[in-house]
Amino acid sequence: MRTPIHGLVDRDGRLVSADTPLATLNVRAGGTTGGMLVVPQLAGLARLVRRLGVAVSRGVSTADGDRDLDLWVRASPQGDGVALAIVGWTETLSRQPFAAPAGDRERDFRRGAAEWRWAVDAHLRLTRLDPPRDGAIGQPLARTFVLRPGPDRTVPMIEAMAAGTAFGGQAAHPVGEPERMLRLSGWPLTNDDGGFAGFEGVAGYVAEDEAAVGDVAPDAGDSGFGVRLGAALRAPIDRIITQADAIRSADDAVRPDYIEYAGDIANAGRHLLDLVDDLVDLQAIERSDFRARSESIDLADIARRAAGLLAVRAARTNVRIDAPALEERLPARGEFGRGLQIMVNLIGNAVRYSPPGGTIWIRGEQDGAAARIVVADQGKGIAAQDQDRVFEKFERVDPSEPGGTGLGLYISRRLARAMGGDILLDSSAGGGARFMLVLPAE
Amino acid sequence: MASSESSSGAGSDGTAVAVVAGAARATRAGRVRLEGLARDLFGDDGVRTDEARRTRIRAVLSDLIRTIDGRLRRDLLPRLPADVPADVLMMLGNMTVPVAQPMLDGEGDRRVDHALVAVLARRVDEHRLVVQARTAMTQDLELVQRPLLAGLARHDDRTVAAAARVMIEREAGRQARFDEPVLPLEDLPAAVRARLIWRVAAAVRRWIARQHVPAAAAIDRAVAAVAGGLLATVAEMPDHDTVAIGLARAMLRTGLADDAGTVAFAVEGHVAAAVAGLALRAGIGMDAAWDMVLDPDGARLLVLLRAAGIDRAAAAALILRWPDGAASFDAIGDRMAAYDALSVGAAQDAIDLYRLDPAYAAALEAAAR
Repeated sequence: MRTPIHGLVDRDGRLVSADTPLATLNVRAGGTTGGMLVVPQLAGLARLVRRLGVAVSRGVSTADGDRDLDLWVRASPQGDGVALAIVGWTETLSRQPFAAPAGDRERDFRRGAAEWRWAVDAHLRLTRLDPPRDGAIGQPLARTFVLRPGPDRTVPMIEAMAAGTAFGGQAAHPVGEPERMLRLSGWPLTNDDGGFAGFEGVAGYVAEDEAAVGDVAPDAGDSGFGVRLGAALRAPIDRIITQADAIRSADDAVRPDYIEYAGDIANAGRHLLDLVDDLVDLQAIERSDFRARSESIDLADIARRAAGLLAVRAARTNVRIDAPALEERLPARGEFGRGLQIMVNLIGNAVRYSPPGGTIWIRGEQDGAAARIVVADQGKGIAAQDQDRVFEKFERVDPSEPGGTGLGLYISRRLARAMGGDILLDSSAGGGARFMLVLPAE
Repeated sequence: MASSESSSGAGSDGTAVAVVAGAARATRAGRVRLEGLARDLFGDDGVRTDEARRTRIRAVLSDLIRTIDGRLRRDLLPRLPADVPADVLMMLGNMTVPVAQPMLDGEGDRRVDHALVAVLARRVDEHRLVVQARTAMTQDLELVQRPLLAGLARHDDRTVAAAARVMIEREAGRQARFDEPVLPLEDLPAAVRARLIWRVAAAVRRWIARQHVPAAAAIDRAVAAVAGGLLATVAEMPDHDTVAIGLARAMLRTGLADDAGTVAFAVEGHVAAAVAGLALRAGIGMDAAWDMVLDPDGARLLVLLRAAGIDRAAAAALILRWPDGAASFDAIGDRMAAYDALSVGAAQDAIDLYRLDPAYAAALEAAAR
């Protein structure tokens, strides 16, 4: 922010003139228009300038409702008073305690996954839009997002406006882009008198059939760690990994130990990201109403795709993946995405535990009503007494081995069983391992 | 039989002696740890160092040791006798292998050089003021309209211009890539520098000895030669304080050393240049001036400003920033009030002690304890 926000404090400490943001801030802090400057840090700064008799340029932090403001203020003597010029204004959300009320947590989860953040006044004119759009601020919301009625022909945002409540599931599309569906959620803002002062909310792109779906009530077993929290965590972790990788690839002027630290940070970040993904999956599949779709899939094709995804990782240790031939087919019933997830997990484990230069075989076979795809590796194998344990949560056969969250096989077996199949293991210590995904044949 | 009995007896006696000696050491170490814990728990908060400062001081020291270690080893390699094993030469030549630092770490508190600690702390504290000034300039673009030091580098007076250019160059060498403080070897006081270089040289020598390398005398001569050479090389360069004083003298001679200039240096983060101006005007040395500026209590700064004849507005601008630009409004206000109450005469009397010979002043202080 570079256009200064000005104010003038008289000798008695009254904010006798102020640009709107400063005047509003003072009112929100409990002051009155033209009355005493009651924002403590600004009032203290003005007193200091009167005492010193010289200009002061300094950062101050103050609270404003649920936000923290970091301001950079240039305060200088002007006659009997003090002229304020706020040249830096940064708002951040106040840190919430972990056990925030459910509504606040829900709002935080939605923010984490949002493409847009917006706020409107009582007349539904935009007062805030991130990312910004030219000319949007001050105009009706409808000139940026075209609202659509829901299946029951009501417009949730308008209903919420009348009731002064929060809303979710407001279907909309960006102006000029009718094919891109959005879902808006919003929370009411109130003025000092408790009256409706607008909404602030978020908007995210959704598939067309999801846009008009209302809020899904939290599942009774929902621990709060769901897709939205996963999205909220992924963004900052991605940033950490990106920045750490940037330091790793910096030129020689970066100290070698810093490059090593950056590598550690990036690797830890990736592990954390894997854990977030697995925990989000875990939360989903452990819900009592979790269902996997049953559709026609080709396990051989899925296996080839998974092998392709892991080819680079395998190449790092010179491990060869012998995937099913292009013309091979293995029809089965299941959900494509979940099947791919399972195969990536099984083949990924095989890559991790294969010796350098080893080979991983992937073979399909049909046996009556079952379609089987086998992933066989030349690793150190799994002893009989450990073969049940590897399918349990957070269990790893060898915790000293790098990588892995301990959830992959547990999640994979749950997914396979949800699709009417299973994952079987045939192995012995020192004799490699053969994991078999079994699904109903098509 | 007798010999085996005596030998086994000697062996068990030797073990027993070692155990007793170890227990005695552990007792002393335990007392030291307890004393340290008591100081940490119940000592004066103003004396305690926060973790950020402690980390920075250690980092600056590690950097110094690594620099000396690297330069010694680089110069030592061609001087070593021919029969030094190849693997020892490889390790000495590989600067990613720490040689001196692990040896110094094993010395514990026997390596504490209080004068070195003072220099390190001063560098870190100076750096804090520089960072605060630069942050303010970044936030408030109108704070500095025409940078003073850059302008002096183009001054018509050649001496002023040359002194300013040297100052700019030396300041650039005191920041690392991520704005961390660096303390170049040449900026250490001569005695402190000599002790540190010899200590690192001795650590390198001990490391070589642990590799069971023959020709100890030849290696000793080689290590001593390179350490002496490094000392001689660095001694030829003026330190940062000398450069700052040179600029201040040139400005004084040309009438440029006024209050506005001192404040401008402080605002722009050229802390040493500002301190040098005050030191000259107050008639004291740079060491004393630094102590008075960086003293967290703030009282000695007031004495320095009064004694240097700084006007009130300039003093206020400096009190806002020193010794800590993040001080509370109340603390700054109280200091300003104390400055207003301090007379020039009282300040001159108080600063007389700093005009004395440092050795005499130190003896007086020791006698007072």
